[in-house]
Amino acid sequence: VKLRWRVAGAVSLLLVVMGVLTVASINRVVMQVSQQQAADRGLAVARAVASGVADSVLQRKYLSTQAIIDGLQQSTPGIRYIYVTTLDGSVLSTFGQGFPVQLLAVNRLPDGVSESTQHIRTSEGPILDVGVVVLPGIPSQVHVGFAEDAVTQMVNQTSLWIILLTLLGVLLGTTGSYFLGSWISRPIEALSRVAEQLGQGELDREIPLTRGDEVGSLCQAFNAMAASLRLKFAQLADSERRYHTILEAADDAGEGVALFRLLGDGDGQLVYANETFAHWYGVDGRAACTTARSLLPEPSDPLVWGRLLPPFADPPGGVAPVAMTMPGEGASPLHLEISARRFVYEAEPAVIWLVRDVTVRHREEVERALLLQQTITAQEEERYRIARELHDETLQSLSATLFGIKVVEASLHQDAPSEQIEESLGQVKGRLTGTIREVQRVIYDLRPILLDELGLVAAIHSLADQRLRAQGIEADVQVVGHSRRLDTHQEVAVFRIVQEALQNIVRHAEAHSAVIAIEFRPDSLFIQVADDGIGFDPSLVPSEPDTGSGLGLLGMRERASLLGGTLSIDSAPGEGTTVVLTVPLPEPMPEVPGASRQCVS
Amino acid sequence: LAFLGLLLLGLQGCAPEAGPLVDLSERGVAPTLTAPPAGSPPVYTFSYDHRLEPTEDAQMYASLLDYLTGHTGFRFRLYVSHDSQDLVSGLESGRIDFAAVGALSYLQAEARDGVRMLAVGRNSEGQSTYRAEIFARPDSPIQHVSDLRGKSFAFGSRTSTQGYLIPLIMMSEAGLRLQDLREYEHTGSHAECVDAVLSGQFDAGALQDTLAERLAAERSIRIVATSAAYPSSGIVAGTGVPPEIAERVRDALLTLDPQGKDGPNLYRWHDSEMPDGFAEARPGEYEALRGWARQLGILDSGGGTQP
Repeated sequence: VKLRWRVAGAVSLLLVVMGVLTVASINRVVMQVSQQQAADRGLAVARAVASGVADSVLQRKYLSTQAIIDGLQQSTPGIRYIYVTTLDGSVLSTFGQGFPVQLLAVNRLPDGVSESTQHIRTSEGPILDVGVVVLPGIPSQVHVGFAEDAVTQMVNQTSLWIILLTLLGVLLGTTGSYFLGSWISRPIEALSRVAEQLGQGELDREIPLTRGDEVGSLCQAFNAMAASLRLKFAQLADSERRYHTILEAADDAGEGVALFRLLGDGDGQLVYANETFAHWYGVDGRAACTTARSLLPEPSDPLVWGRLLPPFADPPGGVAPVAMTMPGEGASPLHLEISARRFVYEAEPAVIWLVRDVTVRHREEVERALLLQQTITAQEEERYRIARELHDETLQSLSATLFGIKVVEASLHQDAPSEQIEESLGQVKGRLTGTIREVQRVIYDLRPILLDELGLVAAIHSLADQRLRAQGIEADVQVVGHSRRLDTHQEVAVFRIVQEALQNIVRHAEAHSAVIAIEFRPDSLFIQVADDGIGFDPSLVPSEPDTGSGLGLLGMRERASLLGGTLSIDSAPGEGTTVVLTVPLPEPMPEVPGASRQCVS
Repeated sequence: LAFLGLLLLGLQGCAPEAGPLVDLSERGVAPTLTAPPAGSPPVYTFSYDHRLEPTEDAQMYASLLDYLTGHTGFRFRLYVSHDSQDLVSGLESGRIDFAAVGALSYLQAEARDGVRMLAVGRNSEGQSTYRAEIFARPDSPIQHVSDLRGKSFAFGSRTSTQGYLIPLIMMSEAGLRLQDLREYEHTGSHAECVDAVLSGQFDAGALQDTLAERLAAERSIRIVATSAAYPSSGIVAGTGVPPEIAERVRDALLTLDPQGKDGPNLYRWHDSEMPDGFAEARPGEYEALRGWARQLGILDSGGGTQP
């Protein structure tokens, strides 16, 4: 029901109720006043009659008394009868023939009472009997009967007028209240419409201000509220844009973001997830039915959930992130790290997850661990090799040399022919020369002297001679650019990478030739080692270093990484292998005159 | 529905108050109203000599009865006598218990039976005597009582002391008799006597002193002669009144204070013959009047005779 009808109905009801009460009250008051006035008038007339007949009554002049009351009845309208009880107890009346004896029993004045009124019902209608004593203390009374038809008629007429006026008032009031309600409710309806549109998101709607009353103030306040809402929504939208920018940045940075509303059962309901998170966990970013526990495998340590879905505020310094492993797209698993942070979302406790892909870091950490292990193993192997070589070769050569010297010594004691002694000495000499070479080789394997004295290019040349050519593999070392000395640790690392590459050629490539290209660029060093060997499938070489194989390649990559450079391996079965090393150089090295290009075969 | 209720309410509100049903068409002969039935509290009848207008007398003595009721607890009812004879006979027969009477009425009643004077009225000077005044219109040539010879004269009531007995005494003392008057008449009361003289119907008249002095002060009349002082009017008890009742009424009368606290409750008491209340009646004080009444022959008959 519209407000205007409510107002009109309420006003009409109020008017009707007030009208009923008014009519009843006025009718009662008019009736009382009219009857009181009639009684007062009756008393006044009765007193006048009593005064008029007093002398004649006291003088017992009955004819005069009769004449007086007859004349008074004729001259006074509304009087139905007058009767007088005389001093002698007789009754004088204006009834003419006879007297209604019943009247004497009505409204008699007892001693001490000077006047009284009494309504009586007669066959001629209601009559007000007014009795007064002729004089106080005199046993003579005058009674005047007044017809009350006139009073009743007057009251009825008054009531009718009041009822008609009330009806008119109700009609006018209803009509007026309807229009008043319309006038009042019109801006309220506009306000309601605009509020509805506002609720539907049309924040630019405003109510035209046409009035300066309370409703106008309400509209003004509403417009101010709408303006404030627009501003707040704009700020919210801006904040949301920034928020999305942050989330997109997180997406771009490869970080997953998810928002969970904490539930009472220790779980969290997914409210939002960015694309990265949704991609990793295979969920719809806005799937309301997804919970945190349904996304993750049950951890071995149940306390992990307390860190992922903290039931209380974060402790100072935050909560340590949780590392999780998820199946990756390929064979490699995905290593993720989840940092949970509790906060309030839409006035409810919530938690936000920042998820980072730490697979690379994880692999690098494993690689570093394996490299350390390999280094230790290599050191032990190197010691073993040196010991074995010293035992098997140098010690045997020295023992043979000692034996040869003993033979020479015996020959001298036996005075053997000089030729025999010279021959023996020659053998001893030869053995010592071989021993010296072996010791030199051992020393070179430990630390090439050339590398420290002549630099990287000379060391690689020497390495090619000793590793490849000594095994019958044709080696071609090419140098491009201005050869220059590097830092010692750079030269050692690059040398060890090339040494490992050549070692792989010797051990696995079954190659006939190899090309070692060295290019000194202004800001980097480029080395390529290519062979024509049997090659291999790089995808079959496990990327994870936990298999024990591929440690050589891993060591090469690790050394290149320590130099800040890169190392790539290009190979295929039957296609040979090419290892490319690029090492950034911090600053150009001083130019070496005449070394624009060297080619050594 | 509301309007229907409104109409019904309005119409109902116009209904007159309920009352006893009387059939005015049923006529008959009205019975004579009688006194209250036996067993009712006693009501003592009080009557009086007519002195002023009937209604004035009635209202004046009604106020005195209110005073007596308040001080004795007795109930009184005024009885308006037909005339002085009716009053005297009423006192004698017991129909009238108490009465305010002039000296002549008292002497007449006392002469017939033992009617007791309870208290004598006191005039404005505090004396329990009063006088009579012979008066004429202010422009009348009558200067002395003797000038009344050949004039018309208006007396008061035939049983009035001040309106008849004392003026007769004054005329007698002046050597006049009723026959010396051109004509005379008993007007019935002091007021009617004044009206008769002022209207020119009579040349002179006789009046009680208090009323005459007030009218003379107002220059409505001129006093021709003033009588000697005679015992005033008083309140008498009839033969049927028990002594203890009469005693209580007398005590109440003696405590009446018209000039003081009781004045406002009394009606025109200053025009009465006892404006200052009452004094105890002294035995023998009416002897002079009784002698004149006998001499003038009006004691027993109550009517006027030639002095």
